[in-house]
Amino acid sequence: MNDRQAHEGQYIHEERILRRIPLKILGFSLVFACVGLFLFSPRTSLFILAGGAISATSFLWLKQTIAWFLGQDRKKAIKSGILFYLIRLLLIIGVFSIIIFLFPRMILAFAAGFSSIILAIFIEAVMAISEMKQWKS
Amino acid sequence: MPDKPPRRINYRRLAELSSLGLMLPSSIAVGLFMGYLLDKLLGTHPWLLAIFTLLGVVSGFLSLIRGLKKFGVEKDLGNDKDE
Repeated sequence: MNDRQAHEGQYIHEERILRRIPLKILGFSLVFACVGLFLFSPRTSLFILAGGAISATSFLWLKQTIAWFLGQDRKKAIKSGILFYLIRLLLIIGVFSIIIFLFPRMILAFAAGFSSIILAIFIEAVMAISEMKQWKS
Repeated sequence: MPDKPPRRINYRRLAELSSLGLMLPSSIAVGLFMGYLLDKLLGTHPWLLAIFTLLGVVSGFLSLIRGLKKFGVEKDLGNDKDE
């Protein structure tokens, strides 16, 4: 296998892992939403699902931003990157403010869905470690 | 049976990308839970929740921007070494 093929293989594998994470976030938030539906109310499960969807979108957005950020002229990229992130910051603050002031009881449900990214990345890390151990052995 | 991953896969880069993805939600979660608990203790609902969530979002974004800059610098250094 030459260097270029190895590099392409590595890129494809990384892309596969990074594409799996948003799907896992949605999957976990769906599971949490189902649990919330049985234990709490349909509205709670809706907020958990919304949190998961925003988290998955946020991860995809971050991934695209990094790819774009690294492929640009550095000075230009930092300027437009900061502007882009200010817009994103305002959007997230807006979403959280609306939930805190209009649906204060639902903020924990939303945060649970939003935090499902932590579980998704943790599972992905465990899978990566087990793959590494398989090669070594 | 899952595909065998290429042997030279750079898990360090993946871990860095994942940690960038975790920065924002974890900061927000910490701020939110602190605000929620303080609101419950002090009876200031929903002001401390709003303030701490805002602090969490802002600190998450600051660390994200710092992480992105560092990631970019390390990537450049890596490219220089390759050349």
